Amino acid sequence: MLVRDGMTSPVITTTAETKLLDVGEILAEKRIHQLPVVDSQGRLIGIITDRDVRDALAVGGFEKRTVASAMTADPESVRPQDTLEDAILLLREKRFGALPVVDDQQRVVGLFARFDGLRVLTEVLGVDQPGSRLDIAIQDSAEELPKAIAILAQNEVQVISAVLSRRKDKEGRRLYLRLKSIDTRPLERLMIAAGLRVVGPTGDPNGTDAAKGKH
Amino acid sequence: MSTALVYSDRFFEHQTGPGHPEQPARLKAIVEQLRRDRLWDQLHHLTFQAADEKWPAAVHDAAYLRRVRESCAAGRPFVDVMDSAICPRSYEIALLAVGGVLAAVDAVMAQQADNAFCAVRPPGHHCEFDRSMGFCLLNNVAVAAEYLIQHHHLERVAIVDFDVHHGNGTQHLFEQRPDVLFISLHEHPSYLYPGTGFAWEHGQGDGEGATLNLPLPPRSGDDDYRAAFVRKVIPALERFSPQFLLVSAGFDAAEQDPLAHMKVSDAGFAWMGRRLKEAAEELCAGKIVSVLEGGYNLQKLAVGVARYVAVMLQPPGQDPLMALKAGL
Ligand SMILES: [Zn+2]
Repeated sequence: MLVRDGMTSPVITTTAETKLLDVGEILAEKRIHQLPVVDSQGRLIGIITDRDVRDALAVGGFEKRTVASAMTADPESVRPQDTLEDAILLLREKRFGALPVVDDQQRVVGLFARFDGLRVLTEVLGVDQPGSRLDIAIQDSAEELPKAIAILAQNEVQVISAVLSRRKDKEGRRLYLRLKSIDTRPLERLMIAAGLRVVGPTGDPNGTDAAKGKH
Repeated sequence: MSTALVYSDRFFEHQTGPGHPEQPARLKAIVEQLRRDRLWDQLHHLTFQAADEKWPAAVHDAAYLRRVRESCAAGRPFVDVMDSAICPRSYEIALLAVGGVLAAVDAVMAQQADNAFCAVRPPGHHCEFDRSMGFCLLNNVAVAAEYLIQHHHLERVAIVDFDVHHGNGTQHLFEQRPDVLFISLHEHPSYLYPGTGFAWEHGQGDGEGATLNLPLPPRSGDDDYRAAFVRKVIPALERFSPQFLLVSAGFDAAEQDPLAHMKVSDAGFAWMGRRLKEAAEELCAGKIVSVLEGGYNLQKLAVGVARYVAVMLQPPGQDPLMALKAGL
């Protein structure tokens, strides 16, 4: 996925000559935390945050001050064709609230905020889609992963998302499946028959026994 | 005075195919248990017919209803999701289930029965405004709530949903409205379908506060449900002061249900039934209609329903605690 798939666009911008007072009003009214600052051609020249406005308010002469005096000039930005990893890692690394998105002429075309990152991750994991979870332990990726994928490909259940954990514990890695069904047993049976271990979602042998339909 | 039962052999005609958990045998098991426990003959058996389509249309999208009807007519195997298996008669039978629930509501409103239990299928509480989910074709309880408001001119209807799954459809149909209180107890959405019903979902706009979600961790049992009832469900009902109580009565929180991970006993279901009946007696002259949702361990389902129905059959105030409260 690319930045263009997750960014907010169009986006409200402001100019260097705008009064801080007006910017403060826009931020409060729209309940947003930052505005990209653009020149007369719409090119990115800075970013101004609600924090910048609050800090300026604490000093005298606020009424007369413009964006130019409080903004961060030449901020970091990303392009629509950059990957989501570019944006998410940069946000995390620099602890930014948001990144302006600019085209090849430096014109602002969107904004990628922390919330956009959260939204994209929610979508990727599919946790906003109605469904059931099933956790499979994967000890030996080379052997077990193809088995699990082959079962999913049989399409016994519609799969919303499949995520392989990076972390490992004594049961190995986890294949977290989100399934578009109230009844996960058909898939569980196939996994178990293929020698795979179903360990969740409840992580309880009794729970999984019940889910296996042993009763 | 009596407890009405809504049941018809015609509910078997909704065929979901071999191996499907929501099967006609569920109702067969219930009927056999009611007979075995000699409850069958004590019940007031209602006659009813398929609901006028205008009532499901009062809560569902017209295009959705057409889709279900046409999918059935075309002989398709399911509607919207593979879970929601259908046969050519399914739409007709779903309308019959709604018709049964509305007949139960009418009987209780007309004081022809004290209360009612509706042993119907297909179930309803997962069904959304415009799509089927989790075996549900029409949201029976939601239609009944809307019917009570539009047809019987009630102003406050409460729905308690103790099916182990979150009643997403019912919640979404009413979450912006203050006139329908929806309370759902269910296994926590991180562990069980449909993955909604977090505690922070408590209604929107005018409906803020009229949705109450009580997610419980896997392996919760009678004590956990009792605690949730005493601390949350009953106080919320008392605050709302409903004129009618509808119950989405699912029995899949039973220990050994194949689709979930809870441990409610037969006595636990009976206790919930008793407490809901008492609340209805205190708040709305005993007007309570319970509608079957899930429950997939046939044995547990049948016994759970029978114990629950036995409680409904008890005359009001028979419970010693109630008698004490009534100052006798
Ligand atoms: Zn259920």
